[in-house]
Amino acid sequence: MHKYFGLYGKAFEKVRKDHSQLFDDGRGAYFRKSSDFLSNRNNWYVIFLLVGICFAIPSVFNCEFLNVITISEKTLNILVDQRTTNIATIISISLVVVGFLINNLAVKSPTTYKLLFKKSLLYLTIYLTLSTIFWFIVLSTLRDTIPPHPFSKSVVAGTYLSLFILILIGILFRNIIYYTNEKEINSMLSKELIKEAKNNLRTILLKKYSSKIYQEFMSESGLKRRTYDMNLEILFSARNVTNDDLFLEESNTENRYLKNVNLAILGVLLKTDFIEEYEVLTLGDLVNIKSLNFISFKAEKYEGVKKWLLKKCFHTSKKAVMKEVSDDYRKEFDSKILQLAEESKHKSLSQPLSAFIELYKLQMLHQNENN
Amino acid sequence: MRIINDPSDITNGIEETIWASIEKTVENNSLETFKVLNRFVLDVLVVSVQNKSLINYNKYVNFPASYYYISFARSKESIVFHKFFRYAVETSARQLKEIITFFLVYKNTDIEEINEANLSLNNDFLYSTFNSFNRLIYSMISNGDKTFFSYVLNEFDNIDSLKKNSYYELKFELRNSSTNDGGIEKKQKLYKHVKLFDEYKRHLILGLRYWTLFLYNVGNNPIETTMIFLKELRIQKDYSELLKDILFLRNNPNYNYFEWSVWDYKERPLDKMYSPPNSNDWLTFGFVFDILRVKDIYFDTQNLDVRQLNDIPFLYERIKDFIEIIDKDFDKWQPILELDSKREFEARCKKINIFFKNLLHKSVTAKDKAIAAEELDPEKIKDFKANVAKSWEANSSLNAIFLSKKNMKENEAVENFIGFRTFFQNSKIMFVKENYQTIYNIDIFGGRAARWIDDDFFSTVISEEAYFITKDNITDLIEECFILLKSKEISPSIILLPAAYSFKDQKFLNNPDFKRKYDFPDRREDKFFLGTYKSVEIYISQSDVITNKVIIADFEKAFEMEYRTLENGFNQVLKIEVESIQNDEAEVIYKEEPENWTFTHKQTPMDKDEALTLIKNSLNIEVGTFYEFKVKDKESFVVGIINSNIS
Repeated sequence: MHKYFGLYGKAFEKVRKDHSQLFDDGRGAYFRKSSDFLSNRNNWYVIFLLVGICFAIPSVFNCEFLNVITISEKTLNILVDQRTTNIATIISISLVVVGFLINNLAVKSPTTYKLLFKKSLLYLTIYLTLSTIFWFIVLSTLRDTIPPHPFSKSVVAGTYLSLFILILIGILFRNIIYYTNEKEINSMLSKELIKEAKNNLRTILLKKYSSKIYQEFMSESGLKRRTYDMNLEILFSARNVTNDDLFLEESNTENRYLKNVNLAILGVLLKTDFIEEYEVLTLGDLVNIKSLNFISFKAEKYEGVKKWLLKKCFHTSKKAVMKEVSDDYRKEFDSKILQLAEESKHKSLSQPLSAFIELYKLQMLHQNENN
Repeated sequence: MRIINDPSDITNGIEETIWASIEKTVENNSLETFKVLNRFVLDVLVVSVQNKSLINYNKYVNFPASYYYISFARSKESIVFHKFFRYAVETSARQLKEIITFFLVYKNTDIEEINEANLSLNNDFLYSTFNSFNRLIYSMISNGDKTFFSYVLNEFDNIDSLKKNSYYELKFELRNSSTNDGGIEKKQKLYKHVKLFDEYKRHLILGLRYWTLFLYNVGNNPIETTMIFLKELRIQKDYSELLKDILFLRNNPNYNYFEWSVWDYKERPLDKMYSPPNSNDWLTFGFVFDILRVKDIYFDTQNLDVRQLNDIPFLYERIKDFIEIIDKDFDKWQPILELDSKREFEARCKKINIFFKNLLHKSVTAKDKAIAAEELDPEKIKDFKANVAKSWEANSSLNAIFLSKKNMKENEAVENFIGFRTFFQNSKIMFVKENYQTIYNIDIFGGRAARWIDDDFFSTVISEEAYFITKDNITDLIEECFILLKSKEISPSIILLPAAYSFKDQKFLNNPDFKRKYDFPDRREDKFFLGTYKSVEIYISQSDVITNKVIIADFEKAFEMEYRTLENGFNQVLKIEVESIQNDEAEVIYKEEPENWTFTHKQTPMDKDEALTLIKNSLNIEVGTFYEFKVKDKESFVVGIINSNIS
């Protein structure tokens, strides 16, 4: 959570305040985020564990609402096996239909597949089903090991899960049928394009404001900004500069990406008056934290503790941060427009073009050069 | 199309995709697709205007002009493309017209409040759009393409047909009102912005018209085509503005105004340096052509400002040159000049000569009288002194070295004045309030006086019977000098080098014994300090006297400077005086050499009164110091001479 304080937090607040349109409005945002998370291809283990927990909780804790149904031990044994086969059947039929529908996708491109899988909750449905089957099989194998009471509760919980799976499959069919319609896909793509652009804009603005805030903060503390006087003498006598030096910044292993700056501590440190000049920093920049070369010191006052504290102000990481400016959908649109123009399909052209107009509007609203 | 790749712009590169797509549609001759894409371009342009985003606007505004460019080539290849070509040309002209007419009108609220920021932004949009139009017509002229020329020009004439953007009334109002009118300043401020619309429109046509003439002159376009072009590229109603326009355009600070500076008429070989034809020349040539076409030359010369008047002598010179060119090749020019005979041509030339000679005279008198009558403005003198002092300080290394080493001695008897006292003609103009005008680079006075200090010092030192050492390269030379000084048990404290050594001799600069200035953080500001060699300080000097010479010395021991303190001087040493010339003094100057004062600087004759006025517009300016350099001890310095020229 530390990232919501310090420089990052301040920049974030400013973006949030001045560019509120770039953020999802509160309602539904969390739901959307969590459903996006769950339908991510790589998050299968989360679903698997969640299903496991769903099976386990009723058997350990007594949940009143599950006690409504009374099931005798005999039916229970049949029920476990039946549920397993039920779900297996349903999922196999569903997969066949899904396969057929995907085959008939109106616009076939990696991006639309990606979009389809995300929007239809396909991964979520399949992972959920497979996990449920897994746990049912485990449960039916252990039917003589587990005491009857928790066992019956788990089976009931599993039955509820199966019902939930049915609903998900329903949603899957409902959504996937849209994808046989080109217009639907295109409007969805346009939405995604704008969403991608908004995401990128947020990052870009965050960086922009971070350097602005940092500069304001430093100059308010009475520091001078470092200037480079590029006069001829330096150019002529720059004798030791080699090609390696020019690429040093990227290759230097001591360089790390700036994640955040703790302005509170930095402010206190600045009052002790040992810094002479500073360079403007932007979050996501590569900085050399060991030498702190972006700050010049008044030599005599720069000692151990302060040095240590100052270094602690700058949080960095080895992994690139705030670089996730993605352009998958932009690329998709670019190539699509070019292709449509080449094939002279003027009727289909207007939609991607109007998406670009939206993009321009967004850009002019948030990145206007006059502001 | 993309100029800068900016990843922090989310629309980055879209215009390239669109342009590539448009090229594809031209290739495929698919008009419908082209229409859709063009619609998009138009939409972006409109959205950009609405959101005041000039950057995005400029990405697309030249698209219409380029439609012509790519479709013309195709239409030449095959008749099949003709329909497309026609549509492309007509659309681009119409669209540009519509954008200007409907979207780039000065807003009423901006006019009422005189919102300068918005007005000038609107002007930027206008300029970009007009420039696109300009490109379109320029391409047509370059191709000698008459097909749709009159259509395009007609669209151009129809720009702003409702006259929403024209402010002629305001102009006449301003011209006829006296300066005492209330609110006149406001109106002037407004007019400064809104006049640009008309100006762009007029200048665009003017440039293209004169370019057409140029192409005819170099033989690129045949006479029939030229005649057609000229007929369409009419000069608008305000013929009287022509002189003002040409004077403005000849001195336009915007070097690439309407891209004139890159217009060219032939393919150039890639491996040779070249520059396209000078726009000032062909513009002036066209102007000469136009004034030859009218029967009686008349221009309103009331409102020309000083800068424009100043250019008149030069303009007149060029006019004479160009008339000669036309005269030599009269047969070629007669048909388009629409003159009946050579005699008529000569009669017109005569009229032009008379007109400009009168104008020349006029350009001298009125203003000069006003300036002569004015008092010097103490503020301006203060500024001047500060500037001169600054450049004086920045140009003498010896002055700085002596100041830092402190071997200076005050002596009221010093007579050696290093500097100058000069009678500076026409300089009063920069010290008065009303008719003020800057003269550039006047602060070099300070620099000159400063460099003479260095010169004086070095000639004093070198003329002494000093020890000379000659060597081929600088490093050896310094070493040799060190050895010599060491033998006399003198430890050097300074090395004086010519300024060229601060960058020229890499061997010396890379010598491990040499440390650069930037290794001494506290001395970065010191302009004359170059670094150290074996921890002896090195200073550089601009003086010509020590080219190829080096002086190594124990500075404190060897040299001394005596100086006179001046009460009012800068740093109490530098004298800067500005004196105006009084009536009787002017008489004296005139009487000394009356023949110098028979012609104005613009080569028209003048009488004694005018001459006295001019003399009084000059000033006596004195800049300098009383310094005397002395060599205290001949033994403690060495002069080294480098044999080879550094290269």
